[in-house]
Amino acid sequence: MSGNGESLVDAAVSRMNGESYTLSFTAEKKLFPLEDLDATATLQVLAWAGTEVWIKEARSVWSKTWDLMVVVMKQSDDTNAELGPLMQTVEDIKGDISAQKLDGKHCAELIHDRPYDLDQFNSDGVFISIVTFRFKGF
Amino acid sequence: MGGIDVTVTSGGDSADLKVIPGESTHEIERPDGQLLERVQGRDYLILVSELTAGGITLPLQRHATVVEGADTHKVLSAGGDAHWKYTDPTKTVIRVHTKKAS
Repeated sequence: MSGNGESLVDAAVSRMNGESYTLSFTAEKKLFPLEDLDATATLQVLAWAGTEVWIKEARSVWSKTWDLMVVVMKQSDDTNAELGPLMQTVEDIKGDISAQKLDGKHCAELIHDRPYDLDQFNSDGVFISIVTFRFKGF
Repeated sequence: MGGIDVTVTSGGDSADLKVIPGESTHEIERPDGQLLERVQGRDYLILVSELTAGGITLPLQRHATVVEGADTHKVLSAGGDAHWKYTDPTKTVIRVHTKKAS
């Protein structure tokens, strides 16, 4: 029996903090994902639990889906030299986490709407990229 | 001139200036309904003559900084408004929008 969404977040944070990606960071579990802009002077990687869906397949058999949300955030200037490594770090995380079995669950789907939020970047000068990893299990 | 002491840096040039702090805002923004971002905004009124005497030329660059005490504010647009603008037809004073960056 696999655990809940929070234990999936714990497993993902542990995995990311044990790996090396293009940029160094310490990932953090943040069950209430609120971040101050000034905290993003340094690279922030936050993970929290997203939507959870249970579908009844048969009597007492549920197929379950847990969304793991990961955001990469950092203040950045409008240059390729700054944005490139941030985008590559997101790609590193996507490639690594999507290949893992975490907390007994398999990653079955990944949703990444856009490389980063351009509106927010223009407004606040901060790179924000959110990836949803969808894990499935029973 | 009254006001407060700040250091403005733009395009590699820095100047210690007296400026008038304007509106301060605290906003919670929701980039896509998932992550909350708390932003502290602060405006400054700056005499153009003080700015240019300090060696800083207009236009003020996006991502220029205004250091006030221990806080660094980045010059960024606010609510769709340009990151800086003249406040009067004689182009004597500019209003600069900033957000607390560290």
